Amino acid sequence: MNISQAYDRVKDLEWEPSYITAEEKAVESTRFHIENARPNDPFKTFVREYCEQELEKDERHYALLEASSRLSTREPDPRWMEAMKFGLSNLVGVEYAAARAMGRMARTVAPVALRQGYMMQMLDEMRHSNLEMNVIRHHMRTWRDPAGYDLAAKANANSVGSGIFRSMVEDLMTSDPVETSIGLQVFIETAYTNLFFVGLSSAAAAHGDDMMASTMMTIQSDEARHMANGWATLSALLGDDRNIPLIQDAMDKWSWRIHCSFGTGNMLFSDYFVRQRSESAKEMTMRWVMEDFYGGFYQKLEQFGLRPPKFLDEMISDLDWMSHTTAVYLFGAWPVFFHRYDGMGPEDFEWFEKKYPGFYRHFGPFWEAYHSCKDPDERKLVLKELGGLPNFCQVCQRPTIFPRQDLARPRALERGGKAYCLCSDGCEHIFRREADRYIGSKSFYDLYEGMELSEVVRKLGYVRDDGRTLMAQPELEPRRMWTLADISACGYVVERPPLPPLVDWGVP
Amino acid sequence: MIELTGNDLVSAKLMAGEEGEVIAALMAERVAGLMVTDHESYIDLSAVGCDLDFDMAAIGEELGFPYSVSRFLAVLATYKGDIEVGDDRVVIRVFSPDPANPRLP
Repeated sequence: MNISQAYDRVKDLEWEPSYITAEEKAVESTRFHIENARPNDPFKTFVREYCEQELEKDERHYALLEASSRLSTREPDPRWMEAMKFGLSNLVGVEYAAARAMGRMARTVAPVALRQGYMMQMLDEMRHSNLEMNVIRHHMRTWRDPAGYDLAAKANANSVGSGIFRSMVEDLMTSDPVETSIGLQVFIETAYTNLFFVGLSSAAAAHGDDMMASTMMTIQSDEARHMANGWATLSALLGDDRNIPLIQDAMDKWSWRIHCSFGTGNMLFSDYFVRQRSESAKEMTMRWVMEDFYGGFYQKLEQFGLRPPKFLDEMISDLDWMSHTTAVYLFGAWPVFFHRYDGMGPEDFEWFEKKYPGFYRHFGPFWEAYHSCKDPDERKLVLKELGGLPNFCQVCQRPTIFPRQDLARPRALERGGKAYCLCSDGCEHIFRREADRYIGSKSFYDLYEGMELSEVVRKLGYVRDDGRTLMAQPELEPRRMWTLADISACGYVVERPPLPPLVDWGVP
Repeated sequence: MIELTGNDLVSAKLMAGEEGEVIAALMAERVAGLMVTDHESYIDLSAVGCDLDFDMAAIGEELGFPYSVSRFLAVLATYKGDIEVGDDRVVIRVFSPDPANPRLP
């Protein structure tokens, strides 16, 4: 029997159990109308074919890992390798959350025609999490400074920077299950993972990280099925006019949510974690996301009555400064991260100025300050010199300095007697609609206000085995590494910045 | 508000390696106007307004051994367009959903 015949036969095996109600069986309900949908799974993957495909992929990938463990090939670039401590830490968490989301969707809302595809996707996400943990393990064993790779999983749970991704996936996992599909399969997997896993795999290869390049490509080969799952789900929804306004709401929210999380990560990785450059992060995003996804996919949904995402203009204009603003945050707050930093130099500045005219005028002063604060004997922390950390957005968890500090329009909304900071119109829109989903999250200041910075670092656990040297260092090869005592000597106490202007609930 | 401009680009990104190179060469012969670009870790096959039809029998002929959809999906990193996976071929078409029947684009 060929796959197409088997697919039809399996659909005929669907039955409704008599011992529980439909509601009890579904566990959760959805506000979308999908009950009568008869979608088509273009991949028609069954367990037998799935195992055959994944075995093929794993044999190819793990052969490389095995060879790489035994053979010393070229030395990877330290800028890339150190940054991947932060990068991989976040990826593992996102993949694991996606697995949980897919299990939930298969259990609750998937029509029989898609259920198999959803369940395969759940297994894929577990596979990806394992693949990334294996890269972390490999790098921990082979990279010259394993500190940081050894606590990547823990750091995913407590790093302030990882909060950007944690907040997004936790929002995703707890949304309406069909909305989860739109956020995960349409925006993350169709719009952004191509750029991340395929586009950045070239950068990994160019910087000598063959393991990461292979990992990214083998992951994205699964994402190809997930993209098809997304379109199959969406196409089933589009067949019922009652769904159009619900889809529009989800599109407005998740286009912005993923722009602020995956989009921010893409921009940072593509511009600041690389040394050998071809395209800028803005160019990559314009090509992979704006042209391929929004032009080649989303635009063709407008005939169903969908409009462009509500904050698309801001998403595009943000690209001018987004990577640089993210870097100011990541590099400026280096002690509360867990890798060595490679500060940008003249060659980087020249390239940025060419790709982002006006770069040095806006960001040059930060880099001058950064480079003047690298020596622990100077007792100068760039974080303190520049006035401390800003507020963080209650929705996206980014600092409220986007798209660029002088252009940012932070604002606050009160809820239950407490003010919550928001970074943008997009995050304010999301907060206004479902504030209760976001107010439970504790900000960096809720956790660490009033603490001296070395106490914060100790509490985070980002200290090397000697119990006194920081994992993070502001340069790749420092003359002497920063210790907790050095940080303490700088006398920086975490202080909550003043609130931005309060806006009224009645005036969106 | 920016208006989105649609396009009819169709593409397949294949993992770099012998299979990817053989498939890219075969498709370049078969698809007029196909753009093939080597990105070190992957090979990009792109065309505007036409189908990319990957025939496993033809690929197997070029490779010199029987080739399957499962093996092909192990080297297909990603695609752009509307994909249909069959028993012995994989076709990527221009994404062009029909409002009258969105489930069958």
